[in-house]
Amino acid sequence: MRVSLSHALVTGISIALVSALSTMASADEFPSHDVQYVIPFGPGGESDISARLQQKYFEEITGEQLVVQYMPGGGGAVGWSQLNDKSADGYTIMGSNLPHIILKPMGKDVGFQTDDLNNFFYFHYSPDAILVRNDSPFETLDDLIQAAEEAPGAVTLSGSGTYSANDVANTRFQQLAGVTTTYIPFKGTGAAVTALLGGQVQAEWGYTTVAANHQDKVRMLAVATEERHPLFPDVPTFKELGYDMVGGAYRGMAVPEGTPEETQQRLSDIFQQINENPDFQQEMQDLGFVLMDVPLDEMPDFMAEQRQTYEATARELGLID
Amino acid sequence: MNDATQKRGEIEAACSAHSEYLLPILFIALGSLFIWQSRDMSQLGSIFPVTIAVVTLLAAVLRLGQLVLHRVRDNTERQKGSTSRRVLLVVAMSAWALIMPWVGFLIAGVAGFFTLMMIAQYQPWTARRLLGHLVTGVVLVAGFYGLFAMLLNVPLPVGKWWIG
Amino acid sequence: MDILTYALGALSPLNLGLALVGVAAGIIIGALPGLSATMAVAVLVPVTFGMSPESALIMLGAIYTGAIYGGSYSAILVNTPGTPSAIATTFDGFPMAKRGDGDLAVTLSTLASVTGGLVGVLALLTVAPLLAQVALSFGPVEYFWLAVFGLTLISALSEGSTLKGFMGAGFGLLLSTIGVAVVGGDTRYTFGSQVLLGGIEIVSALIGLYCIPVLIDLVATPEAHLKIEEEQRGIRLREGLGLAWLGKLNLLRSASIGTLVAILPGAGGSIASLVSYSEARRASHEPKTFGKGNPQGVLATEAANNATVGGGFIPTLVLGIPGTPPDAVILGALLVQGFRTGPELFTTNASITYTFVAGLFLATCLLLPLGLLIGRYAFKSIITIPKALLVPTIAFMTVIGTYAIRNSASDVVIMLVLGVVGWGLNRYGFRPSPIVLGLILGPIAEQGFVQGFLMGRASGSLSMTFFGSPISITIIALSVLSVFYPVIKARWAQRRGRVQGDDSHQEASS
Repeated sequence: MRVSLSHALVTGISIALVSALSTMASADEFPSHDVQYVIPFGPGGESDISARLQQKYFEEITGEQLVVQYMPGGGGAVGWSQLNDKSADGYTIMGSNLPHIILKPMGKDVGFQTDDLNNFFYFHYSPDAILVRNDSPFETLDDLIQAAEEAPGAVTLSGSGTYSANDVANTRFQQLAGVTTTYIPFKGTGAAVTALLGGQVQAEWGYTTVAANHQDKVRMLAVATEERHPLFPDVPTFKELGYDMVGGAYRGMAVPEGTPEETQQRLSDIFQQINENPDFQQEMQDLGFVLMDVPLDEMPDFMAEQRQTYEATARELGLID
Repeated sequence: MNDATQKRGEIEAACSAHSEYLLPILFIALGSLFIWQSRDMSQLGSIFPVTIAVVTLLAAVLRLGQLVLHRVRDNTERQKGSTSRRVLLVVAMSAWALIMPWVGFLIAGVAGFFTLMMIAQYQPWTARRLLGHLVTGVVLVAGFYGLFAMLLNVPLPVGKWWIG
Repeated sequence: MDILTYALGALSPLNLGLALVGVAAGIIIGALPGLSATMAVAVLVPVTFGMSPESALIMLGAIYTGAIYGGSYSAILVNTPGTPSAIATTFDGFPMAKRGDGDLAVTLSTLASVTGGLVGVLALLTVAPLLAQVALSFGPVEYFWLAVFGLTLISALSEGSTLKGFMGAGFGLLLSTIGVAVVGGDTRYTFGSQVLLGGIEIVSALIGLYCIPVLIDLVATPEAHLKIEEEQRGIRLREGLGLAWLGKLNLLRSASIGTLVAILPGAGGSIASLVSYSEARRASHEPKTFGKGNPQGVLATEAANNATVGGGFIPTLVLGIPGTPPDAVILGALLVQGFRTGPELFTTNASITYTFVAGLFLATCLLLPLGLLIGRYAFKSIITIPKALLVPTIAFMTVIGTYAIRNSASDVVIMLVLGVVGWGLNRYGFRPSPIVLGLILGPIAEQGFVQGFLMGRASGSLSMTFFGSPISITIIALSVLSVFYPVIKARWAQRRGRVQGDDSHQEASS
């Protein structure tokens, strides 16, 4: 602690000194001091863990610290609605999550619009997956579908939240497989997996990350990736089984409105470089994440595409007309 | 235990007897407001708050009934004290919280600290005492600022007025 | 014994030093209202990345243990529970401090925290895998009933009118529904304001409802905040030990309740300390002195809430399901460091696990000397600081503490509004505890109920879902008992009173 104290004191003082000069610093030197990385959720979640993994490599590349902070509330809405109030110098970035930023503002006022977020890089996603307990009678996805066909609504699946990635995945799956299940929303992935482990639900809408964490107790019936996940070579993808489902919870970063173009590009480059680091790749893969690169110039197309997909599902969910 | 029934059939109010009736009425209003506001919600979203609002309403109605059936006595021992200082404290702290995002944490903190110091002081100020308090105040504010902003990485507001 | 080897490994001078610094820093952070154990741990996580895994874990455990204990200072000395699990500490701790026994209360809290902490760690070490299965048998329906049981404690907590207690709890429950609903996704009762979207944060509500009324009454009179005794009595360790020995059954019972309830993710700490408090009161020969500064009340809650440290780690380490928010942060740190939870934590990774447990044990033992030392200092500074400095200092801590929870200036405004409302309600006989209890248990009750409803509809039998499991039936029975216990007890007292002659203490239930 003593080490950290003096260290923090020094960095703190340098923040104070340098922030006064930051407006003068040009984009080539960016970053010349610590960057605040605001996670719009509480600590301990996947957004936090992946940010923590980036921290080390950010420092390696830039020589500056990436300071992780939290602004939880309203499923991310509290943070995102305040992003554009932050200083637009590139020294404040905020975690950005799909489908949250598209689904949240739909049909109601949550203090921000999807377009308000200036995303500069999307770096990974946690692929959707259907999980069951090791001793579950469902051996394959077909078993589950058959059970759902025999008694519509009797198969219960837990998941995290309403109008969330899990909810959307369930709706899409019901549509593609032509079955009806009962989706039971829980507060967070932790509570959803507890219900699965305790046998209160028959299956769970989760992610490969959940399966990676609970490998000894659960297995996956299918994952929503393009190709099989290297950590789970035996688990088929939905695509293989004939259901066109690729997706999950995507994570990236956004900057406040008005951040200079060059700074955004520089940030995008830094995070791309982190994504290219083999150590980082290995660590992310071990946790069950799937890396992807959506840099600044590809962002508009990526967002437009995602928007289209989620709008179709939102219509199905009854979120919009 | 202000509210304990002292003798059978008599209820001692926590404060004045009138307020004892007023509060349940406020709770009835609150319950009704929550029921009324739930009309646009989905069934899953409204079932819990409506149930609770109804229970709260019922408890308030029962309480009113209880009060009507018994005699209510004013509580003469209720706390006394300077109402003006109480109000000043609340006003000062509200102002503190409201200006903080605008002028920044430090200025609001120091201003708030000294205002409350004035409100809480009962003895006359001597130059020595004032100076001592002022210095202690500045040291405390600076210390906490350092702890939170630098050690704990809390992004304290810098003030919208200064960053334009 | 392998465990001894690991314990000795934990005792290297460096690790010992880290534990010492961690506990001390934890106590100080925990003692400041608004600065929670979660925050202390989260801030430390990046620092620990540079350390060896053993040192990192020892330090994290130490700061966590210290922070949970430190919360009792603000509860006792300024009536402000730093965490929901310290709510019940205010019931008897603050009255003790008011009458001049603050030093004794702090000593008792230290002794109880050490006892509770040790029981929790012992459970983690010996029966963790077994107890983890208990956590899994609690589904949404069981959580719903548990929340209902927690709410029935209101009848035990509300002095005077039970109806007022119900109204207060109703108010708290209604407040808990504000914001975006987890189940159903509705935006509820925000009245068009974005400030309320994130709902009311529990710790800022705690600060508002408990601390602001103290401030408001503090400025109203020139009298001192706490009564000051003329003679210096030091830390009153002998007296404290005597009381703790008298309450040894109480301590053990509370620590066991704390450990058991803490295993349940999400509900743990606050329910654990409230249950052990009401149990201590029920078992006591003089239940009427509870809430007026009975030392056994402080012993009960503090033993329970420090037992939750060890208890909460049981589901965290065995199942990978964090029991409390700080556990979630520590679990995240473990994952980033490349550890996986589950059975291998007790086999292949046993060295890490046992080092961690040994570290927690060490930190708990360190609480005794450090706690007494820092506690004495905290008590002294609170009684010697002049009012004109005490008021702004406490006010400053409420503002910065509330802000820091979610980095939100609007939370400070919400905290103030709740504080003023809470002061008003308190004046008219509505205590803050039922309100806060409603606020904490509201989401648990609501989510459990709606999830249970969905599950019941899917299975075709709602009544089987809600009344079918033995755990549910047990909790329902306990709730019924808890509601009617005062009535039954009054009957008994009346009967005995008739035999023994006139009993003037009889209190009519209203």
